[in-house]
Amino acid sequence: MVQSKVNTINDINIGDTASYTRTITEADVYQYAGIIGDYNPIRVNEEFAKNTVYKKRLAHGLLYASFISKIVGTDFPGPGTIHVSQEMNWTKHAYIGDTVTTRLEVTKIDGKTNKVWIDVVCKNQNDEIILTGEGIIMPPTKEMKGDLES
Amino acid sequence: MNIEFKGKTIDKIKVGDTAYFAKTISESDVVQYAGITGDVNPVIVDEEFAAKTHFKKPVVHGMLLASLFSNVVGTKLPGPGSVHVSYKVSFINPVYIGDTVEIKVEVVEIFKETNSVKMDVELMNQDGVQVMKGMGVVMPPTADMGYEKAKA
Repeated sequence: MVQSKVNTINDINIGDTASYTRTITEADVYQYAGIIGDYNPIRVNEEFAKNTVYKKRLAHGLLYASFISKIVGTDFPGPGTIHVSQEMNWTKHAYIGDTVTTRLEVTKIDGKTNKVWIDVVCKNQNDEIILTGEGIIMPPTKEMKGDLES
Repeated sequence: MNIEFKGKTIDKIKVGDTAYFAKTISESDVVQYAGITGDVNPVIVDEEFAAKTHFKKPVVHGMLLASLFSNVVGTKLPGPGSVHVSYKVSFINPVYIGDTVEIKVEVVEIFKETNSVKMDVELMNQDGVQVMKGMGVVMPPTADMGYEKAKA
């Protein structure tokens, strides 16, 4: 039994949207750096960052891009969803402490291959676009939905 | 003690330059990543559910694997001070906890006017199976970035 709604391809329509807002904490950035082994000083060294055009430590671009995976895997379409491909364009940087809202919108659905195309936009707390992209996902199958809701 | 801050500036990068990073994906990686991102998709964190899918066991988050690109870019090629511009990844085969994956990043094009570099990305598992491929554009560090100057 899961809390989230499980949406199969038949429950999804073009124009459907979902979003997730999260403040990126220093703890997030440092744990993420540890997992992937990316201790780029632009992310974890305040003194180094001061001497760059960025002035402060930046969050890893792929950290907040990962919120796309959070939305599709837990909220919409929800549990059982598989990520097929993802394109990301970083238009601005996010700093530690920024609050990022990730929003996706369904743009295309292919019932034959069970694939759904999503447009993605991340904005910061000042409503500035920091990331855009397009992804392809496979929503949970009817069988998965049955297993998750039984 | 400033060796870790020496990323390659664009003048030191050539088409064909290649860098690698390999790592066994541990359960702690997946659990911590799930915590940071909030992605607790049962395909990844629920063994009982995953057993019923065609994957048979929990898979690793695709975006965790995609993130290994950030390791190479931020620490090796170009290295410290680099930032991401764009990235496109395709997830081809599942990766399971305990698999060892190696990411290969190769410079394919250099754009001096925008201080950016295009890179081919490939991720293989321990059996030599391609699990992910992609293409990224990054900005190498500029010559004025550096720890000595930061301290001054």
